[in-house]
Amino acid sequence: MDENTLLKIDNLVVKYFLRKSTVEAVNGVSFEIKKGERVGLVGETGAGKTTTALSILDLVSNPPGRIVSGDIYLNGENLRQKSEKEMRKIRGNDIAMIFQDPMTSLNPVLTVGDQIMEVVRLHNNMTKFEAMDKAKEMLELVGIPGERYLEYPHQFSGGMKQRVVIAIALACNPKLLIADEPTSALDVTIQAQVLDLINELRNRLGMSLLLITHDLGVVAETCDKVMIMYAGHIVESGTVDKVYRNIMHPYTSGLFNAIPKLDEDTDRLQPIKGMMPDPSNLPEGCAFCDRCPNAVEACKTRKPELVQVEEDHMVACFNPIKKEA
Amino acid sequence: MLKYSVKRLLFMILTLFLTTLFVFTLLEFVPGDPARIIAGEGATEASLAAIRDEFQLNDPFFVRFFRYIGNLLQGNLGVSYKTRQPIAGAIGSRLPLTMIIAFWGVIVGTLLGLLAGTVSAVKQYSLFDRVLTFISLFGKSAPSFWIAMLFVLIFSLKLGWLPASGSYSFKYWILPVATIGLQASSGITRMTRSSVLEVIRQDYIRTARAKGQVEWVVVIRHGLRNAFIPILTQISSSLCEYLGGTVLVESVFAIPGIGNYVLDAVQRQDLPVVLSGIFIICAMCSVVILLTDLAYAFIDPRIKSTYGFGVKKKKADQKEGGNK
Repeated sequence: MDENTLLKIDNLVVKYFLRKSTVEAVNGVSFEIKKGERVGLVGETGAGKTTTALSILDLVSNPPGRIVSGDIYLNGENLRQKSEKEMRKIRGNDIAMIFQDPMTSLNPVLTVGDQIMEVVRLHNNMTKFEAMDKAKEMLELVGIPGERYLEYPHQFSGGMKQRVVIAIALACNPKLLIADEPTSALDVTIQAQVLDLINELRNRLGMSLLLITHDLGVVAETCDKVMIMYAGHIVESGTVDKVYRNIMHPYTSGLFNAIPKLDEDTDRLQPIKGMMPDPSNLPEGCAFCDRCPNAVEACKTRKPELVQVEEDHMVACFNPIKKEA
Repeated sequence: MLKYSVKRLLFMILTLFLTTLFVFTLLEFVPGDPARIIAGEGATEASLAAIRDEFQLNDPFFVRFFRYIGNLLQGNLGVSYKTRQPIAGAIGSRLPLTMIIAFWGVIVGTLLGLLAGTVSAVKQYSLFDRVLTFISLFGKSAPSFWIAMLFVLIFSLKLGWLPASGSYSFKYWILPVATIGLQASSGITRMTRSSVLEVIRQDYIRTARAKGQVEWVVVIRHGLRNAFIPILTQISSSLCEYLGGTVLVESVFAIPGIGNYVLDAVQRQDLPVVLSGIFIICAMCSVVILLTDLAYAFIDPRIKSTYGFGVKKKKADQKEGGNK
């Protein structure tokens, strides 16, 4: 494996086994994140983004969820073969995660200081006072005065809570930060602040970032690489530059068309027609087939594989969009 | 917080006053002439008149009521019709026993209930969970005197480990405490299970796991404490229930507790004893409820700040990173 590779996911399959059906949340996802790289994972709700992220930490709620197959390597070590005890040393320390809703991801009965201190003391051999100093330092780092250490989450606003969550995530200098829609629950002005903060801290601390979002604009601003996910599959991936300039998958194209354009006078947005298929009953062929304007006969019966179409650009489609000459 | 406590205290006094008024009024409607109850069968008119004079039974209702309240305020619970002894003494000798058994019973029940409820929430739908659900339903629905008799049968008669009845030392308290503990635990188990189940699906539990925290610490530190308010309510209502005397359990084990005392008084129409007994039970419950309400604030900082206790809410300036 390449020495520069921090995280490598190989053919990950995750399913949720419900009483009456099996939800195929992630179906054979593979990707790599290099050291210091910023990767965006884009897709609509239910595409399997969060499940993919939780799988990396082995936090898919079991039951009903289970990683069925696939390997996850961190620095060349297979996380799937680690014991729960070894995984605990990785969670919060090597890989940290920021969750979607800051309103609910902090414990309401503990002070924010205690919650930062918890992760610090779990992974560092520190006395209470050293950890307390570290917690204050982390608060300052995310732009909250250290003396608010003793306050409770309900005394903070949404954006401030997300800052606290970021402070918790970064407290142990993780090698990989997974940010699961860190800004979807915040209003637009605060979104920008939080994204800037994540970006700035990432640059300063030099970790890799896996940013899960459904906002293509955020990805363009923040990430080096982008992966588009649909119904548990990665349908297009590559560097932001290549993918955004040369959209090849009809789904990606649909996503871009749904964004309102500043230079055009649009009354209605252009949605992708149809709905995402029921993940407990995926079609035999390409999952996007029914909604795809480019669908051909092969799409109905065979699943397209990710193939390289140009350098740093892969697409899973039998009939990709050709760039107009 | 002080303001809140004072307010609650005033409410408690009002509750006690109204309860006393209510019970006093109810007892007015009890059929039978109190003087005849005191004097017994076959008393002469003259002796009845003497008794009415002695107990001031001829005074109007409100005069007697406020005389009773006045006496209460001086710590005088009145005199029994039957024994002509001060009630305070009798209650004083019985109350500690009831309190010991109720407190220990509820403590045992709480420990059992918290443990069982938490485990069955974490292992939802497991065999353990199902067996426990069965046991706690059984504990809730089986009558306490039956459980008590079962205990006596097993531990006193068959095994001979513990005395069957009486109340002289620690050894005598084990079976009643176990009986009450088992009963209390079933309610607490149910409440703990549902409350923990709700909390354990919260995002902050996932955050705690993502920190690399050990699972049992996640469950106890992050889960149980957040789940504790409904559980505490359940604990406090069980405590009130058993402080009121567990007549059935006291009867089986022949414990001279307050429940038996009041029940006897009701049967003998010893009205002052009924009145004062209910007053004392009500006072104890009010104290328990007051303490419970205060405890909520210490469990949940959001409740605390609602009552203006502790850190004042302040917003940081924008330059310090605050939001407008």
